[in-house]
Amino acid sequence: MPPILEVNNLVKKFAERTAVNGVSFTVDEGEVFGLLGPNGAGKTTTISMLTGVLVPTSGTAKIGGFDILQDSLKVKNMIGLVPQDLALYPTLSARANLNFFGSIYGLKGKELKERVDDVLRIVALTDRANQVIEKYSGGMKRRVNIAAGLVHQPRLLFLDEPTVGVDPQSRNQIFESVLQLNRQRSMSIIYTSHYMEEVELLCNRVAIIDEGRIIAMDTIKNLVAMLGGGIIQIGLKQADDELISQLGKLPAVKNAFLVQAAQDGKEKTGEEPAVESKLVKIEALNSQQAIVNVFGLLNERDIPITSLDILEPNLESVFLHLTGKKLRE
Amino acid sequence: MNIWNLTKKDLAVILKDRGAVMWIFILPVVFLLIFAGLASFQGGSSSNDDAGDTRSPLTVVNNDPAGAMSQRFMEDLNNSESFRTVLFDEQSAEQSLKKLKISRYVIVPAGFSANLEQGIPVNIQIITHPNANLQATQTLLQVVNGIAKDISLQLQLLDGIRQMGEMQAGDPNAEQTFQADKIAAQAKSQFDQSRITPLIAVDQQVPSVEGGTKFSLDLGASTVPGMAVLFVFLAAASVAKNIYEERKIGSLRRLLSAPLTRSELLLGKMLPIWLLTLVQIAVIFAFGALILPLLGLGTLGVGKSPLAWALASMMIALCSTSLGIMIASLAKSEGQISGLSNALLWVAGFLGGALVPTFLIQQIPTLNVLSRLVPQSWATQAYYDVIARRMGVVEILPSLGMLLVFSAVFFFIGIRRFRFE
Repeated sequence: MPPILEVNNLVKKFAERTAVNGVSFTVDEGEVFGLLGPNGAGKTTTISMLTGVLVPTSGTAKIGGFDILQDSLKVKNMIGLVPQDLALYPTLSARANLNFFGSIYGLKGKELKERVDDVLRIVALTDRANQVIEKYSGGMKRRVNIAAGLVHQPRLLFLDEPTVGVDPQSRNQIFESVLQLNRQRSMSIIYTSHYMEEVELLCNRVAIIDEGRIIAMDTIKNLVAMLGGGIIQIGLKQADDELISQLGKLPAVKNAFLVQAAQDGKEKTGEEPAVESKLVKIEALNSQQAIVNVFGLLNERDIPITSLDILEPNLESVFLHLTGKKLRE
Repeated sequence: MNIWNLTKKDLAVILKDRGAVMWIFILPVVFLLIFAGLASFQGGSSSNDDAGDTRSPLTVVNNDPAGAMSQRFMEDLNNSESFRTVLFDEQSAEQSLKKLKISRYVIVPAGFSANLEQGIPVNIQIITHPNANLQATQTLLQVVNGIAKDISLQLQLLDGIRQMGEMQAGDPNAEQTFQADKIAAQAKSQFDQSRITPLIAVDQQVPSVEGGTKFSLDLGASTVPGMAVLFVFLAAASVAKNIYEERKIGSLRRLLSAPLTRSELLLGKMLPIWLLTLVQIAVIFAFGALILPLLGLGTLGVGKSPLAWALASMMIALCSTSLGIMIASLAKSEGQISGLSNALLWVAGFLGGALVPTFLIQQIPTLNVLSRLVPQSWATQAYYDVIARRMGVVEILPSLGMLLVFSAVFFFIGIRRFRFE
């Protein structure tokens, strides 16, 4: 089966700034595909180009086999967008909002009513459908926001950070809705988030995006496997090539390397530089076993430890491993 | 279809804010009352040169200066409690009226006395400025009519008696002719005749200050088209704010991802305000036509061609909403929308005659040129042509055409400059 979405070297420049810099990926029919990256990484800009909100500077993309620029109306009939903002009319009821968004996709009469009832059921808001949205909780508004993107039954749904500012109960409700749409209705979904837990829970494959580029893309299992048994970051008063080499050869350690010279984190505060230390990153096959062995070697050589971070094998660690930054920085 | 869906949604959103909707209609009415009241007051307080004499000066062109009846007419006018006469020649009077130095003048025609003496009907003309105060004009009409009737009656009675005298002289045996009942019947006959076909008729003429077209609208009521134009063009700010709001809440992004063309989207933002604006125009004119007369601030109609009035209203509303699209495309923030709207709507409204009568602006050459560059000028002209000059559709086509050109330019700039991204 051909992919529902094929993105090829998409670029978006705003004056001097390149927001998206040559992004390429595909999404299969029925897949939940995650775009994971920190704020400002280029996720929303990528989605905006794919949904016709922004015109790409260069590159191409096809949805359902149709070019997003040349066949934009056909493409737009196939897709649904749930934007990061609450793109709803607050003084209207949920039903009135959904009726409107359904109508602009050509739905009317009985069909429109059935679709609206259906999506209200999906987001569990049937009993509050006629209430004005401005009186809803933040989570309920988010759910209507999702429903508005579903009412015309798109083949490909773009969910752009749909859980921002949502209470845990509504967040779970949103997760259930997404999974239900994917499993029961085979809807293809692109889910952007900077919450790795959400992406891990919902997505089959993930593209990690940073500074407008995809820096890794695979199944979550494969991405996490990049870290082996986890990552250990140790700040040391002293570290030379010989020590790094010895660390890399320890049992349960896959690799070790010197990352940077750190100044004990005082640089940012403008205080006097503290004693310089060196940051060593150790990729472990088994983090628990590796740490015992590393501590043993450091004790043996009498090297003081200034800091210690043990990164569990997850997407957050993968991102940190790949970029040196945290997802929510 | 999508334009209508957008329109229905926007109307639902706008009408939910009942307070704002009320202001759409209340504010113009309040302005109208203030401006119509001020205009009437201004028109009624004519200048009074002679200290101590509280009567209004009245310009009279006496083209029969030597005639006995014209002298009598002038004396009667001067003896009235309302006016004291000031003699002008006809050309000076005409110029003064054009420059609004005077609001009205009276012309006593040449041969006034000679014709009356021969029983030939004559006309006294009252020439009033288009924006002259209606009440003052009515007072003058009453006074002149009263004097004319007195003179007519007197002359016709005297003529009847003279005829009877002639009959007596020609028939020495006609004593029965002069019985009291016969005299009374003759007097009554002359009195009735003087009422039905008075010897002196009074005509009111209202020349256009721009040309020779008849123009009939008093100053109080003349503020109605101006207020309508002012507030219709203020709706441009509503279109711009409506689009800004759509961008602010993020729904514009969602709409851009829907199968809508950009033109559909912008037309869908224009249509609801266009419809609301038409209702606003109807309310303003209904108020002007029904309430202002009750308050003694003038009378107003829609001219002889309601179709022309309706077309002018629709075109003005179209021009305003197109301007709103242009403002939305040029302004980058809510503050810029307000600033641009104020500049384009209030200043252009002033230049276009929405706040002050166009004839005042036309007296200042620079403003006169500038006024033709703003759509409000063509809008007020269209309304005045229809309402005051009683023109039809064909005659106002130039104004409608200019408004259409403005609309097209605004929409074109709007769609070219609009930041859809």
